[in-house]
Amino acid sequence: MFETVLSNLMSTNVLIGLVVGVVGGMVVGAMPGLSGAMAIALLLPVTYSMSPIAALVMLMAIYTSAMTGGSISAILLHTPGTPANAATAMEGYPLTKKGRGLEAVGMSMLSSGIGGFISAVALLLIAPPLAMISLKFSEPESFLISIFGLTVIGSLAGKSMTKGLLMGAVGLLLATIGVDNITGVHRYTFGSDNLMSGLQMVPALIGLFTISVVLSNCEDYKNANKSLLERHNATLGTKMLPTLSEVPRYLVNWIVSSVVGIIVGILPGAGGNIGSWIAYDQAKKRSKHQEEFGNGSLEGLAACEAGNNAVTGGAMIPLMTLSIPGSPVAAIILGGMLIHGLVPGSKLFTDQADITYSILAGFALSNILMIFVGLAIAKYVVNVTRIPNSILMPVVLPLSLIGSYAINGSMFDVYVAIFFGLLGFLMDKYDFSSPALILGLILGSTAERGLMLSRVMSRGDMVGYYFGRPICLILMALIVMSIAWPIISSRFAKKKQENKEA
Amino acid sequence: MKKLLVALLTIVMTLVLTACGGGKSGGDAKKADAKFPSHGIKMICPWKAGGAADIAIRNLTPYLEKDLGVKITVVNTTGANGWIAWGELLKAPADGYTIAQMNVPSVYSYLDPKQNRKENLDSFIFLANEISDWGCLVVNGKDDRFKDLQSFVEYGKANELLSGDAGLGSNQHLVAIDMERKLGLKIKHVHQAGWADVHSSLLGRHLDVGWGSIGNILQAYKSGELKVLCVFADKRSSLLPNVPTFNELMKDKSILSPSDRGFALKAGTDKAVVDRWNQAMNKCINNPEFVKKMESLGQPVNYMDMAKFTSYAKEQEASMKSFMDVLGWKKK
Repeated sequence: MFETVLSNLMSTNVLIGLVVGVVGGMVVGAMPGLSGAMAIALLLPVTYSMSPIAALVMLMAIYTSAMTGGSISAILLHTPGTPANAATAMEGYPLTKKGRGLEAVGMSMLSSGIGGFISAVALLLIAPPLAMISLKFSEPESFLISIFGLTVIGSLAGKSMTKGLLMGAVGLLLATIGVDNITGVHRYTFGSDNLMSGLQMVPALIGLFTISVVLSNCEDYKNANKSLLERHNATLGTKMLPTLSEVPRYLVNWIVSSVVGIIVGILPGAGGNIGSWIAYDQAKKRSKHQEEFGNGSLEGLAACEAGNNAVTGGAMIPLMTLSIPGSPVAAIILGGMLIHGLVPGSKLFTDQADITYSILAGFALSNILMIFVGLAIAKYVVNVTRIPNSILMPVVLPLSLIGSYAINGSMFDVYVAIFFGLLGFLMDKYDFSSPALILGLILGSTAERGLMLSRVMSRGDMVGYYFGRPICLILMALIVMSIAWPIISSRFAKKKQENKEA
Repeated sequence: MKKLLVALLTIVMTLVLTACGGGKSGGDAKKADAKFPSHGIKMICPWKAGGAADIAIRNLTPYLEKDLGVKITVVNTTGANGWIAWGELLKAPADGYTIAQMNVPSVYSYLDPKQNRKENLDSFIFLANEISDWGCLVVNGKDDRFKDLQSFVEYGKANELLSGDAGLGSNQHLVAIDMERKLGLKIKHVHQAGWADVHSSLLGRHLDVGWGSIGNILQAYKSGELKVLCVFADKRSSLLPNVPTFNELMKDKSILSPSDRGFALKAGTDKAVVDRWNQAMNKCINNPEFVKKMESLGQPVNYMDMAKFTSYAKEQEASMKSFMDVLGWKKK
């Protein structure tokens, strides 16, 4: 068995697929507006003529590598390629300003690879029992998970909790735009076709994060000929990886974040967007350096990158065992499996075990290869922080607008990006948290759907329904803990302080 | 070093721009080409890249490209339940160089007065149908309550059923309503986000019944995790030869639940151009290699030529009108 897997993997076409997937995925992920999902959809017909192992290793390598590629532009240019990289931008960009861009990219590559690798191992070893857990989840659970995700706003609020919560609420409000899938009511569409399916996430994200930064750089026009580093009086550091003595500080973080990512990944609908935020939040709550969060914390960065790459393996679990895709990308990969005669289900792990385990081993391998490829290009791409603003910003702006257009081929999305750019610029100026708004926007519709549908499913007895479901009870306990934890921990800290003084 | 980087960035930019410019074709084409097609064609997919509809297009285009001898660029223009794409088709010149996927019954949302559409079926030429992904009635494979359609109906008349569909007004929702009306079932509709949610809720026994298309349910049916009690098609599907149709079991009633992926041109396209398209569609959709490939993807090919697809679209429009009150498609 082991030998077959090894010889399958070492064939030329599989290795080519692996390298093409990793490098290609990283490039696609780094471009705002181009997503792994698009790349996989476009490449799918090409893979028909390839061997099943080579084809699926390539597709899965693109999936995990694109997740990671998004972090490069998030860290260096404050341009998250996907919502999953938004938290990365929040922690990575401040590090870049301090000249620690290389270290941030290095940490992101390492954490992504580790997160992806752990999820691949979980997929190899314990996919069937994990899939059974995923079946315990339905609409009430997805409502509670969204609420749990919303408690993360507490960690993102910045200087003023009131402003943070306010922005979260604005995000929730914006999420209601569009035709409601449950009642059919047109909400805030103003008769426009463009708003019928709601605000698109990526253009909003590009506006809030990227265009707002371009605008604030324009405001600083006197320094236009200086690069990011010069303006912050920083020099480019050469440190890339954590030293051996620093590794223990991140070890628990990586493992916990990966587990969070895997669990969120196996739930249909939740996906990487929530995974990275929840991983980020739990890292902050456990950290001894909470003050670093929001101003460039490597711990926060490590958590969300490990978290969002762990989602990739997690999303493959219900796909391979039950043919339920846990994310849009997984749905496309399902098509790739079917065309090669790989039918999801238990037979995949018995009758076709040779092929399946070769693919999964290739997936694990692609996560390791990704670290090396990422580190190799990091040294070069980090030089982007040495380019004067007068050159860099005129390149970033059209790229981000093209990216907004490319998602749905819609000019309206470009206007959305510009609107959110102006909004984000003003929000930054007056210390309103844009990550809080994004989180509200991401989670709003899932939360609403979960609540509305569980009301129908409860057949009238909502309280009994929620309290009769064990996973709901666990989630409710988590939500209470998540809200109460900062209060309790600050009490503890005070007591310690008092004890010391006494 | 700096100069090199600037140069590199410029190259990347240019590449990106060129890549994005690919969709622009046929803008200034004069009416009635002497020899159609003489340059690239734009194919609009109204749905996201990678979905079932997108797969139906991207698998067919290589065959069409070979037959027509020109490049076909697939563009995903999503939103407004398909109407952004169809709006784009109608904005382009009627020269055959812009073509769009046409979906029955999604297209009928022009019947909703809230959407203020002037267009209707006559705005398009219903060129050909490619795929008919019929709806099915699905329950958990281990659910002893439902042995067959008969036992399901009896249970549903006496007890309230929790029923999962892919959203208000979706094909799945409409067939559930049809069952409610024609058989007197008691149904509580749970409008989930899509088939993946319905599927896992069924397997986890959070719902009693779900409705999905053949493409949706095929794998889980084969593995025995889901039972298919009937398919709402005019005849048994080649992909599910052992599953009876609803009309076969209930001789005095008829329920169909189509979900069709075909192609449309703008009305007024020159006849020679339409004929050339017709010929290409006929040849490519009926290509046995293509049919086999689509079936392995769970998409049953069901070729209809222009005349048949047009009259079929008219028939379906009439049946859609009977749902207008449930969908809230009425003037205030």
